[in-house]
Amino acid sequence: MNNQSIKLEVGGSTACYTVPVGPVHPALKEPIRFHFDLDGEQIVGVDIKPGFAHRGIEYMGMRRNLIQTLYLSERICGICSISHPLAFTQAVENAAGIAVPPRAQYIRTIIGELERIHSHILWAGVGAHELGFDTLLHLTWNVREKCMDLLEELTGNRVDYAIPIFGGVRRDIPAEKAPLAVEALGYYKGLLDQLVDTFLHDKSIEMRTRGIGALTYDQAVELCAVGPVTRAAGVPKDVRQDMPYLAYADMDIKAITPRDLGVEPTGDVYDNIIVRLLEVAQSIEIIEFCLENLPEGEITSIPKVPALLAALKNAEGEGIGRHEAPRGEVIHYVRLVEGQDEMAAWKVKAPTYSNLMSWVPKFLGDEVADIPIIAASIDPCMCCMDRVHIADETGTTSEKTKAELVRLSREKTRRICG
Amino acid sequence: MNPEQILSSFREALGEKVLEDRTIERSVGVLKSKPVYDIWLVVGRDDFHDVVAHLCAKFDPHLSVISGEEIGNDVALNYHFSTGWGEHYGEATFTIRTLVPIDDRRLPSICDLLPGAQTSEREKREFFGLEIEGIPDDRNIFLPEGSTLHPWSKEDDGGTSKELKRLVKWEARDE
Amino acid sequence: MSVTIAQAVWQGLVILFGGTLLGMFYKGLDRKLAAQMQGRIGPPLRQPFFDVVKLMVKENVVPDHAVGWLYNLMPLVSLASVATLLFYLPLGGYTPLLGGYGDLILILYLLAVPSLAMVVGGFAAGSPFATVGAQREMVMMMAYEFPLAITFLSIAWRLSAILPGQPVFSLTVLAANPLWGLVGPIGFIGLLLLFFALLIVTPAELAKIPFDIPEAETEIAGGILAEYSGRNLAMFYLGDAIKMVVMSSLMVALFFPYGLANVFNVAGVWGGVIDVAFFLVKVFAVIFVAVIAVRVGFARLKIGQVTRMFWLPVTGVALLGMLLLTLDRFV
Repeated sequence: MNNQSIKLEVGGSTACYTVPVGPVHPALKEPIRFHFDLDGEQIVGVDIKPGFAHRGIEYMGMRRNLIQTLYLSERICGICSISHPLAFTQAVENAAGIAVPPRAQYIRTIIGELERIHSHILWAGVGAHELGFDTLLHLTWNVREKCMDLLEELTGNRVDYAIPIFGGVRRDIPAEKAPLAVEALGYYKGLLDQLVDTFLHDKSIEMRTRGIGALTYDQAVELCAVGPVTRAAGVPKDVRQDMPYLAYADMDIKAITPRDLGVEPTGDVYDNIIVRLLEVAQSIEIIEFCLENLPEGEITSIPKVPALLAALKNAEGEGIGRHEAPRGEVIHYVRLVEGQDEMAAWKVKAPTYSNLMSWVPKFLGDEVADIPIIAASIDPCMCCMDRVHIADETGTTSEKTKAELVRLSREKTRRICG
Repeated sequence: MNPEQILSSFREALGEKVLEDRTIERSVGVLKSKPVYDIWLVVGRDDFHDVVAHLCAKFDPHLSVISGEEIGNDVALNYHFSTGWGEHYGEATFTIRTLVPIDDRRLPSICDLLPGAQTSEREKREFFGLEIEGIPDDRNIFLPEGSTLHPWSKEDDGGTSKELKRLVKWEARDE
Repeated sequence: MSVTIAQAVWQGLVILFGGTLLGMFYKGLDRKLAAQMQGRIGPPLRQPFFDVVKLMVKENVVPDHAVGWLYNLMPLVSLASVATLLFYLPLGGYTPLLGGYGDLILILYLLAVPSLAMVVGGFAAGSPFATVGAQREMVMMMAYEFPLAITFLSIAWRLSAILPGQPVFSLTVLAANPLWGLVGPIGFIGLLLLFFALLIVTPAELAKIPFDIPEAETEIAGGILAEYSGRNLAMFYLGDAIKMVVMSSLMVALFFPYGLANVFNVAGVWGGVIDVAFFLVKVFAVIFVAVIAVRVGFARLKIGQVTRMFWLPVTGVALLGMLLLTLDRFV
């Protein structure tokens, strides 16, 4: 076994013992295993083993037709449930040469940015929890609900929005729903200063995050880190800026680094917080732009699914689709062969995949107490929770069976649609 | 830097080593339309390391991922780089494709040039049964430790589907 | 004071059960109030009782690597020591059951026993998480015991100068003679500083956020308690609940031993009831300020930060308080 690249000895001292963290551990929201070599409380070596949730999605996707695979791509991750379909549809559209109507491009962007808002706020809460600051966790997740409600109003779902389809989107944003979005954006605008104040000016958060999990500019570039992790280290990588797509192409988007707040970037957890909070503000601006400039017209270029399937079956070529997900760059590579329902090749890359390597320099030299927040600082993908416990207005709680839950959710969907 | 300049730099430095190159221009934007570029390169396995070295020396690339597929008698590996990040509209995707014969699955590692390639190289190693020369860590990354299956390889002889059936049965067992 | 054995047993049982029930009640209040302050609904007040009952019927797992007898003994030691502490507390205006058989020094030692038991139990569990937790608990004790001892001793010492010949180390005497009125202005400031120091030591002694480092759930998965389950965990849980009552009662006895019965001029049984009720309110006030509000408002600190904080500023404040009390005596 050769793992010299990961294990490192600091100052000639030998590690006293190894502490395993994961695959199941309270600090981790998804299964991954770390082996930490500890010298007292200091981390002197780390070995990372992912793959516990490997489901062979690409293997499955290459055995289904493209529409079925679109559903599959939506279920790669619960939080990035628009990011993967966005990258996937773009890859297929590039490969097959399908055009996307302007209105559909803007709707995709709006949903994508709403996802960024809720994902970053979710991360802020998780980060606070990892620091042992549960009050902040509950407060941030409380304000996140506004965004989830808006997504439910616009798409019918809290997660897995089922919006993009090859050549467009499946659902329009009708004019009467726009005020809801404007109201929610106003709510977050008013909240931003408070969020920045709570997270960046709180003494106990500062004590726990400043200088912890640092990543230098060179390390971030060398290790091909993506998303807020790399931007916190001062590397201005952002697909929306570097190689615009969808509605981002009409805007002048700038990658956000801690410099925007006058902080010299060190890539530590504190800088990660800065970047994510500022990106919430950026997302609000983007959505406002999209709502103001939402073009009229069709929402999909091939509305009939059989026609779409036939078009895809006759297509030949390869394409790359990229999207800046909340956690960083998502890239899908697709190769289509004429006369074949399924793809010949499909490669999915999620942001955490790229950021895996940057965990090593972030961990080394820090303490056991920093493990949870450093692990969380790259925002590894997490699953969404089911809502099984229901509390009604009187404060009494009751368990609902699955059938009842299904009935209730259908009722609510009808209420929203009707 | 526009794609033509990038490609001519490669032709100058590497000459015949670049077997094939093409640039695809796409236009993006609704209010005003602007071009973005996808560059595709095909190089031989033996020259592959030199080409990536030139890319790393001159263009400060970002490696997104390596994709792959067995086509005929070759494993076709696509290294999805991008160059020119950090500027508005500055980036172009830069895909280097190299072919590895299926009966001689060796390939040089590029971790010495770009350490961030390790995760993706380890993944391709286990999924296609490649031998990547000079990779700093050759353990399985996503497949279970000690697994010798190569799910994306046609020479896998149905081992993966057999294992899948066993797992599905195990998942559905009654306890 | 002559108490028959039957009386002692009867009173002892009442105190023991009363103290335990009280601890669980305060724990329920703590959880409910913290939840409300965090914008949650929170569990019902009875939740700690449900928890204990559930733990009691659960299997008691002993890990393969554990030193079995030590591992099983330590929860008992922990619970026994905090339960003993209950007998030394002047509840309301009443004389404690064992008031004549031990003093403040013994209380200091008994307070340290549960933490020590947890350290031993943690090491005996043979799990890396528990080992890290036990190490942290030891460091924590070294950090907070010094200011704690300074506070207790300077108060007793100051009182000894005022009441020569009296057993000033007895908690009953301390509670009967609150120092606030007996010292001059310098001494008053000194007392305030000592009170402040003890207020910060309290959450550390109880291992609550921001000082729940030995258990840090997100870091070391419960640390010392990671391997404990069933009956053993229930005993630690009960010990924790009782210790909360003990620590805040000590605070009340040292700094706010005033009763309401004399103010309202009520004597006899009703006077006793009023005093006990007022005592419970005071205990709750201390818990609210030192535990609930603190744990809602802070993030968990790191062990290095805590050690630095207790050794320099908190010990400094406690020493300054002692110095002012000393000055007060000679002025």
